[in-house]
Formats: sequence, C-alpha cells, structure tokens
Amino acid sequence: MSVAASPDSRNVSRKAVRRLDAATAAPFVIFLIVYALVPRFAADKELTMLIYIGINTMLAISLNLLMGYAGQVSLGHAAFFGLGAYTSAILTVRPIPAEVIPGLGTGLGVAAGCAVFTSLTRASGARLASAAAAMVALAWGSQAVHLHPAAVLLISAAGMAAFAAAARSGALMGGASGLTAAVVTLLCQHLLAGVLQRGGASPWSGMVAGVGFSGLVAYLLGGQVLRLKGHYLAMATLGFGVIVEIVFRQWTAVTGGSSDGIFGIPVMRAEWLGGIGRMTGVEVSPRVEYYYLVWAFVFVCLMLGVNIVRSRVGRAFRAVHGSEVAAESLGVDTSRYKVQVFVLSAGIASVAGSLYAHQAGVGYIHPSEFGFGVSAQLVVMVVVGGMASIWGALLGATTLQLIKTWLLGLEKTQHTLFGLTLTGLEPIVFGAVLIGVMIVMPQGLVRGVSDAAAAALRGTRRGRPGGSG
Amino acid sequence: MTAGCIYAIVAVGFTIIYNTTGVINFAQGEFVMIGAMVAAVLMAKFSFLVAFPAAVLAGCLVGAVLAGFVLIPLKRAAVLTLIIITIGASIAIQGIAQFLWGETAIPVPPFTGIPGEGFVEDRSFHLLGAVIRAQELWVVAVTALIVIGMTLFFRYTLIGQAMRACETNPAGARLVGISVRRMVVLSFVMAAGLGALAGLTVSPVFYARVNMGTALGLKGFCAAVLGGLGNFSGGIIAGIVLGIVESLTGGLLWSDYKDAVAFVILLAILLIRPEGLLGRKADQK
Repeated sequence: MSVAASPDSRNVSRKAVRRLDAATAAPFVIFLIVYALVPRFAADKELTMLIYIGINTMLAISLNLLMGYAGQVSLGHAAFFGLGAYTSAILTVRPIPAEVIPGLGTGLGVAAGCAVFTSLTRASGARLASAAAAMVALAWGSQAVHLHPAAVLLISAAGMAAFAAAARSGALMGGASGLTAAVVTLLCQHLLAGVLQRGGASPWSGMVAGVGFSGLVAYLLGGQVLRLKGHYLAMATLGFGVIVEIVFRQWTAVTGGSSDGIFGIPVMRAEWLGGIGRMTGVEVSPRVEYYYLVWAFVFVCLMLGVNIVRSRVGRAFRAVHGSEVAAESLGVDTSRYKVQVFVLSAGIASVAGSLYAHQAGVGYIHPSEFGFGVSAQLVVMVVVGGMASIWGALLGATTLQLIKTWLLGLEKTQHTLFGLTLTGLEPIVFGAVLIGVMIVMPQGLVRGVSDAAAAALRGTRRGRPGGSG
Repeated sequence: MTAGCIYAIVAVGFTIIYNTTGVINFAQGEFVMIGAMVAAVLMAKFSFLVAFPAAVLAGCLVGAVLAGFVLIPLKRAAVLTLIIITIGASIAIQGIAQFLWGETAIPVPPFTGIPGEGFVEDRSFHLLGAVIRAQELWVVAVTALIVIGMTLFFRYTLIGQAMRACETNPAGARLVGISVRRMVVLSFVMAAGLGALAGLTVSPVFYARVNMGTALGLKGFCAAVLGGLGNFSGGIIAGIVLGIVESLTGGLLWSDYKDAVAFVILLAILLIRPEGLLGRKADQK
C-alpha cells in the first residue's frame, strides 16, 4: 500500500459521489436492481437467509475496515454486535429494575466523563484510572446524600478541576469531563430513568442508543487497547469479547441471563421501504419489508466503506496498516485514526446487532449468539472474502451462509461416513476453510481468484501469442 | 489451586512454542482437551497403562500436524496470518473432537481411588481443616515434575539449548547447523504433549468435555502474559496465582463472574504492564 496519495485522488472525499467512475458505480447499480427485484423470486425461506447474509455482510464490512484496512486485529467483534442487539432489545421490551438504575447511571456517566477526559487530555493508564475513580466517588457520593442536581453539577466540576490541577493536566479539561460525568449521571437518574424502567422505546431509537453506547465503549476501549500490537492486541480484544459475553450471561436482572435470553422483541418497521416491493408487484409481508430494510443498510454500509477507503481517512488507515512508524513520520496521527476506525467499526456492528434483534418473526436473542465463536466466524468471513476488500465482505458472508445451509441440509439427510453420523460438521469445515484460505490465498478469495486468473491469462497469452486470451 | 496448576502447565505450553517460533498458539487449550478426552475414552476399556501414554501420544501427534500447517507459511507470514491459522486449528480440532466423541462430559476415575460400587471414589485427606482430594495432590505433583523437567531440559540438554537459540536468532541458529524446522516441530510436539498430560491429570477433577479447551487455553494465556511472555517461571507462578485469585473471588465475592476475573486481569495487565509482572522490558514486541 503506498502511503503517498496520488494527486488526482486527493479530493475524493469531498466529491466522492461525482467522481465515482463507472467501474466503481456499476456494482452499486447492479446491486440496487437485484435488491429491488429479489422478493419477486425468493420465497420466505430464502428471504430469511438473505436477511442473515445482509446482517453478516454489515459485520464483515465493519471488521474488514478495522482488520483488513487498518490492520488492527479484533477477536472480540461480536461484543459490539451484542451490545447493539442488547441495548435496543432492552430499551424496547425489558424494563430495567429500579435498583439497577443508579448504578447504571453512574457507570454511564463515568464512562462519558472518561471519554471526554481522554479526548481532551489524551490521558491513559494510571491517570485515566485515577480520574475515573474520582468521578465514581463523586457520582456515588452525590447519590448517597441526595443533593440537588445543580449542587451535584457544581461540586463535581469543582472536584474534577481540583483533581486535574493536581494532575497538572489543565483545570479546564478535568472540569469539563467531571461536568460531563455529572450531567450524564443525572440524566440517567432523572430523565432516562423513566424510559429505562418502563421499556417500550421504539426500535429505531433503540438502534440509535445502541450505536451511541457501543461507540462510547469502543472509544474508551480503543483509546487504551489499540496501543497494543500483534498478539497482545488480539488477546486484549478477545478478553474484552469474553467479558462482554459473560456479562450478558450473568447480569440476569438486566439481560435476562443465559437461561432465558430476551423474548418478544418488536419488529423494526419501515413501511416506506416496503413500497419498493409494491412497485415491483410483490405482496409485502413483514419479512419482505424487513429484507428491504436490512439490505438498505447493507447498501449504505457498502457505499460508506467504498468511499471511506478512497478518502484521505482511508489512505491513512492503509498507511497505518503498511507501517505505523512510516505513517507517523509522515504526519499521520496514527493513534487518532486507529481509534476512529475502531469506533466506526463498532458503530456499524452495533447497527447490525439492532437489526438482528428486531428481526421479523424472531424476536429473541440469547448470549450464545454473541460469543467468541461468532467473533471467530466473522474473522472467517473477512478472510474468505478478502482482507481490504469491501465487496469481498459480501462474498465472504454469502459463502459462509451457503456453507452453513449446505451442511445443515447434509445433516438432515443423516448421511454416514465410516459408520459415523454426520453431525456438527460446521466447526470442522470452518476451521479447515480458515486454515486453507490463509495458506493458499492469504489475500482472500476475490484477490486470490482474480490473481490466479490473471496469471493464467498471462500464461495463455505467452503460450499462444495472437490468441484471443 | 488445582485450576491454577493447569493454567500454569498451559502457560508453559504457550511459552515453549512462543520461545522457539514467536507464535502464540491459540490451539493450546485443545491439546489439553485431547489429552483429557483420549484418556477418558480409553480408560473405559483399558487400564491407565494404555490410556495415559496413548493420550499423550495423541496430543503429540496433533501438535506435529499443526506444526506442519504453521510451518508452511511461517517464513513470509504476518502475525495476523499465524494467529488466524492457529484459531482455525482450534476450531477444527474442537469440531473433530465433538464429531468423534459427542458433547457430553465423561467422568474419569481418579488415579488413586477407593474402588467402590459403580463409581470410584477419590481418597481425601484432612489438612489444616481443609479437605484435599488425592487427585489434587497428583495435579500439583505433575506440575512440579513438568516444571523441573522443563527447566533442566532447556538449560542443560543440547536440544533445549538449540531451541532457545532458534528464538534468539533463527538465522544464526541455522548457521551453526541447527535445523530450525525440526526445532519448531519439536516445540509444538512438546507443548502438545505437555498439554495432553495436563488434560489427563486434571480430568478426574473437572471431567473430560469437548469444549473444555477454549476456556483453559485462554486462561493459560492470561497466565503466560501475566508472567511475561517467554518466561517459564513467571508463567508458572502467574498461573497458580491466577487460579487462587479466581477461586477466592468466586468463593467470596460473585461466583457468577468468576470466569471474567482472569480476563479483567488480562486486560489490566496488558494496558499497564504489557511485559508482564515478571518480564523484562525487552520482551515487548
């Protein structure tokens, strides 16, 4: 990947749409036509499969931005998927018990405060930890003595300012973050408490809240974790993913735990999208409508992905991937870009999570759908589709879903091999695919096949000059 | 304590492979599972004289196969490629095991048990008011043996020294006539054998189950990082400490979040002191 930008691609970000050349735009046009027409030819069963493929494509795009372009391994990506799904499911159907609200409010407040604190001071490690501790103490203390909200605001601001002064990081910044922590804490306790306790938010607002929450978590986590490299980063993200899954399983009061999961999640509606179906003359069932909704999001993600990759930001990502030291010496703020791509990636995953939770005809989520196995499968999708390939994500997600369906069909027929019934083949095949692709074509199927084809083409040309080639 | 010893052995396995190849082997936990499962399955039919060596051999064999897969792309591969290959191996091994042996947990009789009716009961001792099962003593003894054996091996035998040379400087090692290839295979085989040994020792305590490997592997890795990657004694001490901390938090605070403890510690260590508690600064890569 070349670090330097060629002059003619410099303004792509600003005039991205106008500058999209035919080669880039053509797949999108084809995509839209197919998108509109599919429900005419697909039965309910295929539509359900397509909905899953769509959601997985979004996840693969988000992970690919992070892993394929910016070169930052994440083995805990399902955590953000889960955070999105759980946030919007909880907000829509599962009232949060009143006794959890103060703690939750404090937690969110402190998280927001920390985010402001790190963005202003770039503090990390011990300083961030002590600031967080100070904020926790303030928020907790103010709750315990039932102060007037305004008093809490003032006290926390003053406290944080004092702390910041002591830590020599600028009183203003400490004050600002303390203030944020206090405001969010109060918001959660007084304003949001109603919503949180009642449940019954709309799926759309649930999705927005999910993105906000995942983004916040990603920002805080990314700021710290992305300083690590290689194995260490992989293990840190993996650890994060496992912790999140354990919380889903064990925090029964809020998440329903691992025995129940969450039931009765309402469907996310988008009636105007169903209109596309009516135009093509299809009877619009909830599932058809949901198909249109999911793939509209996929379309947006593809556009976003392709444009980001071609923009200044995208080139910076690739520079970070190529060589972090080189990128930094050319003036690329690597740590900022890494955190940005992490947050973006978490946001997309979170939207996919909300779409997953609010599916038509399902309405149920369970912790096991967001565990390490899912994170690993996402890696398989990205690898199969090809690192650093936005359209490859679509291919990877589709291939995997097809393999899954095929294996499921194979298991139903009760074939036997050497006297053993064929069941539970999925992990074996996925593991083998992962190893095989990595060894044979580490660039992924799209790049691998096109390279092989190009090589073959060159071979035939050389072999038979003047041939049609 | 028992859990801690297993984490320690898994951590040693990580360290062996990391020291010779610089690769983190995500499939380490699966070696433990294979040891436990093979032992459990064979114990039902044969005596332990057959089952135990077979279990360790099976582990070694899987290790050798995996080494073959890692060896092929090792020269030109990025860290990401190697990580993904070992993850793929982990998924596949677990899948094959499930295919062969099913998902149910298999109880394994303890080494030195009192033969009862139907089920063999373990001997137990009373020590300072605590009840200790004989099998737990076995686990500790095996751990101690492994630690001593490994230390002697790497310090005093020619092969052990050659393996250390491979990590320090592969090109140099090749120049003085060490086959890096063979050392890599050997390190995988040793790590796998150790893992299998750990698995069969611990199986009477925890039962043998197909999906036991993932968690053990991850926690063993926590221990390895905690002790400083590449540091034997660090990994062992950290593993035992991790086991104790885990059972303490599980018993005293919240048993629900017992499994999360190791990972919280892992994150904290990675952020504050990536070189580990006992590691040297130079180990950072």
